[in-house]
Amino acid sequence: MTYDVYLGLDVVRTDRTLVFYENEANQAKLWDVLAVYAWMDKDIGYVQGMSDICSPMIILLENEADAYWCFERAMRRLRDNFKCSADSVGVQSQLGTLAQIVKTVDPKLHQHLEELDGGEYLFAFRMLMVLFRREFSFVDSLYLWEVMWAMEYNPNIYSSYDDKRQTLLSELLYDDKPGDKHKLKEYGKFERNNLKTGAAEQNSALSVFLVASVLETKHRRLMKEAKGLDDVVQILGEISGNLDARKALDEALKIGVGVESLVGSSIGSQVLDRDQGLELSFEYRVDLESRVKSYVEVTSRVPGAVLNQDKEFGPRFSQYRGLGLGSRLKVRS
Amino acid sequence: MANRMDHEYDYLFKIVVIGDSGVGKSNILSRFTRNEFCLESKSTIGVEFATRTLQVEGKTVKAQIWDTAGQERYRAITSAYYRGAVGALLVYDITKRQTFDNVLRWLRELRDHADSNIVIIMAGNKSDLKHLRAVSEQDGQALAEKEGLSFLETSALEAVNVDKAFQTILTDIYQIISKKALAAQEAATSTAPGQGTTINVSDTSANVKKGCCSA
Repeated sequence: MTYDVYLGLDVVRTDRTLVFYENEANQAKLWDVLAVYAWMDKDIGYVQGMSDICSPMIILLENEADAYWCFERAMRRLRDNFKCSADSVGVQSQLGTLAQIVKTVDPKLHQHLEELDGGEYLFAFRMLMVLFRREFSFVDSLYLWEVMWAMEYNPNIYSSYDDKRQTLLSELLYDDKPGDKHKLKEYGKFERNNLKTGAAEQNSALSVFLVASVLETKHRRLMKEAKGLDDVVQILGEISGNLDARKALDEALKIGVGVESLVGSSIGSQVLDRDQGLELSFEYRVDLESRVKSYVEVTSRVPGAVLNQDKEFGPRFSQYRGLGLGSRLKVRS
Repeated sequence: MANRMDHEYDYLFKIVVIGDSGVGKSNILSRFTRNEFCLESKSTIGVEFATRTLQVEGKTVKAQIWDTAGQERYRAITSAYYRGAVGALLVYDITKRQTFDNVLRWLRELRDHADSNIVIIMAGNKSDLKHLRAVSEQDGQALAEKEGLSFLETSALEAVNVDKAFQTILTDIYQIISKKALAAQEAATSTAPGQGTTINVSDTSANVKKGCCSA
């Protein structure tokens, strides 16, 4: 089967609980964007999972071209995961990093997982591949995406975001407060540095730390109850809607700091570097356009989107209906 | 409690579910393990796992089932998929000829990567969609006979033959394993002095020869 067969199969089953995709015109948009991408990026083409990444762009951006470019920018970060060779899938390098992180911060858990034939961490395959879209609710996963991508832009942004969660990025960017202006000036620093060090192609490691933090929060149950990979998946599966996305991020950052102080560059210079400290861990190629777009789009439509919700984002989202997004996230009855 | 759980089964069998994308692998699995069918199921990313414990010839067997993504690009992680798998459920969609034609490719993949003794059952799924049928049951049966596979037509939607398919494969596996165990037992007792049982030389010739030459 060629990729367009998979593309067709997946478009009809992407987020199909949403009324939004009952409309064939919206399905067609999803198909268009994925097909154009596959045509442009021939090394990747279409790989199952990409529709999960693309779908939010279609929902958030009315203009198809805007949606395409947002998706294209997101794929620059993620495309390595989708790269398949004869004997490996790209995401496996991230899984390898994850294994090393867990081995470092929680050797007992790592050993336990190895004993369950889970040493390859394939149970985390999906989380990294579609960036938690299947594990978190629609809004929670978007929250994670925007923070992850904003932190590539500036590692310190999370703390400021956390401080005033009601603050929109647009405000942050265009605010006249001197502190914020100073921050704004710094934003290009990481990008320039990445250009200099050629770190542009690396994958975001924050997602890997996030998986590690999820594993950590489930440490006790995994050690006690997991007797097979199915149990591991089940225990991790229960995070859906029950895990506080912000807490997970905090944990991820702690692990990031912990790993860095423990092993420094031994985990891989791409991920961590003792000399430059944690900061480097989150210095990734910055993409102003897509970041601002997705950020502004999400935050302006859902100011201070409250996370840690249940899986059924539909009813809870009724409060946002007036803002435009709610109706798009309506679940089919 | 945890320990008791651990001993609640006599055997643990790893089964892989394979076949083209969209043939209904995940729904076969959810029908078997949770008795659920999801009309709005999503594509499988990489690999997903589920289990069900059931009785096979008086023994408690835990089936650990690996549900795999259909896209061949994901085949790159095959070594992990197939490692330790004792059974495979190869699924095609009776309404899509192409998925049936690809069965041979999946068989080749199994022969290349899985244990040579793996027990394979072929399932023609979506048998409820009679009006859309593109592969006759006879065609399925003929291919299964030619390739030496068990065969059933299933409907995950209507819960037809799904349990039977797994029961068949688990029983086959159990019988092979208990036969092996029996053979091993016989071999073990036959080494005891004074027992006049025949030793199957062909099976152990390599070992015997070695001992012989080194002596």
